[in-house]
Amino acid sequence: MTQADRYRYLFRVWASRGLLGAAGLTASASNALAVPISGVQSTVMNRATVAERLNLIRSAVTEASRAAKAMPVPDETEIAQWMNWGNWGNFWNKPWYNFGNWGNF
Amino acid sequence: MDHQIDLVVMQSTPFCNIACKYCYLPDRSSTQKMSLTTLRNVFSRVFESGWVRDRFTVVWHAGEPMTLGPAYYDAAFSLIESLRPRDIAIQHSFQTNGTLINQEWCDFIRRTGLKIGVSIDGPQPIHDKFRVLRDGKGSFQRTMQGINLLRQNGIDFSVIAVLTKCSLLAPDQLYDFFAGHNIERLSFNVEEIEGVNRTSSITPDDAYDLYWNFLNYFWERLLAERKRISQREFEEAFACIVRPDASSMLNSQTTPFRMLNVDVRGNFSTFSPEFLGQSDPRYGNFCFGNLNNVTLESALSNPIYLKLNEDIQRGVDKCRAECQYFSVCGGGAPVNKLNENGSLATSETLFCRLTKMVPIDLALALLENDVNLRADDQRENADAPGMMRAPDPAQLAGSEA
Repeated sequence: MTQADRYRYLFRVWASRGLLGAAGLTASASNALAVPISGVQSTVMNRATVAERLNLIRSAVTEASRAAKAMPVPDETEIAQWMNWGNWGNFWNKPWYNFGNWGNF
Repeated sequence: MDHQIDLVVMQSTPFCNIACKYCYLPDRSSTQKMSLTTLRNVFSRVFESGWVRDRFTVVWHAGEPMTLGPAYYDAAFSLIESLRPRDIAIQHSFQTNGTLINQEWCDFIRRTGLKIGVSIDGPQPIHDKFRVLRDGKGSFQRTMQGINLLRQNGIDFSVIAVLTKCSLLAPDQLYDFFAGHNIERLSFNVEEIEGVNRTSSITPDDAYDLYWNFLNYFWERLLAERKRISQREFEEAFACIVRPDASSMLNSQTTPFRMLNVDVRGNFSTFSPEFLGQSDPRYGNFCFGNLNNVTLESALSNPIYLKLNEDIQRGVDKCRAECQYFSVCGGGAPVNKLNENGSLATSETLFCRLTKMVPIDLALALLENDVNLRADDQRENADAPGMMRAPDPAQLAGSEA
């Protein structure tokens, strides 16, 4: 099983439970993620591959979103929400009083 | 370009009643306050510009907003409300040190729907090390009195904790403190070299590892204990990472006029709010005029704005070309580039490494840990607390469109 397959599978699980959207993502991450058995290791040495790893995840999210009835391909409104929410913490669930990369309130 | 303001940072006063040792604000002993005339002119300009749509937030900041008292804001909010077009909603917000919260403030908060963020750094020995009153004594007790009063009044609030080296070395104490006090929304700001704060307890050499270890501990306990704490860095990291291809990032510090920053005299700027109060030979005082005298749109032909925007966008281009994290950041924080690197047309900063790279690296590691564990069907304790076994793929196939 490739890493891409693993991600597709993980996000299909999340999508099937309605957790793969802006409103449910927080719950999905905090409730569904496995607790590392002995702690995760710093990946600072693996930094050269960060962009590839991020791309892999976004592709898997897109595929999972298409595949799951609960999460059709995002429409323009939803994409716009992602755009904002992605840099805005928990804006759509409950205001964080915070602003993107600016975290002083 | 079609501008859209999402946040207005208003400096109602630069004064602060306490004297945090890491504070970046240069004029916090000044007792100036923004006049209602200036306030009227600022919001008249904002609404006339057409740059606000649907809703925006006003944060009263860059000083301790509560030093002015509820009567000032009663007048200010009423004035703004009288100018507000009916199809635009405004959310007012304070970030406060909490030491001045009293029943009068609680009544005001409940009456106006003001959102409150309280700054508290953790247990008393850690908090009082840096957050001190003007007589040098710690502010912890007074901040906690304020928090308790908010609770007694049923007022929801969030918390920002500034992380210094001593707190990064004590993740267990911070977790126990915030979880023990049932703080539901918690943000971390790592101490920065910024403004008049020219040194940090955290050195570039140890910063990444210290923060990694801190967040790793904190997040693992969050995951293991299923605490109802919304932790901003955790949520932002996953929100940035787990999103569709078609989405893109908006960086509000590099996008002109997403944030409008107004000082106590009505001088205005955009990009990083911390530019207010700073000066630089290349950009003057980072302001594009005074809203008592000029329109917002006039900024677009202001030489300081043009130079500032040009250099910031050069920095964004550099980030785009060089940085592995660009897709989850959008170009960094200009004020940190200038203060750390001496130039806006640069990319990586210590601030980037701490606020973006560490949380993203850790979230990636947690996701990779998760998918790798799920792939191992032989793992004996797959149903142990903290694990959610994935359903049979055949069941999922049945739900496909």
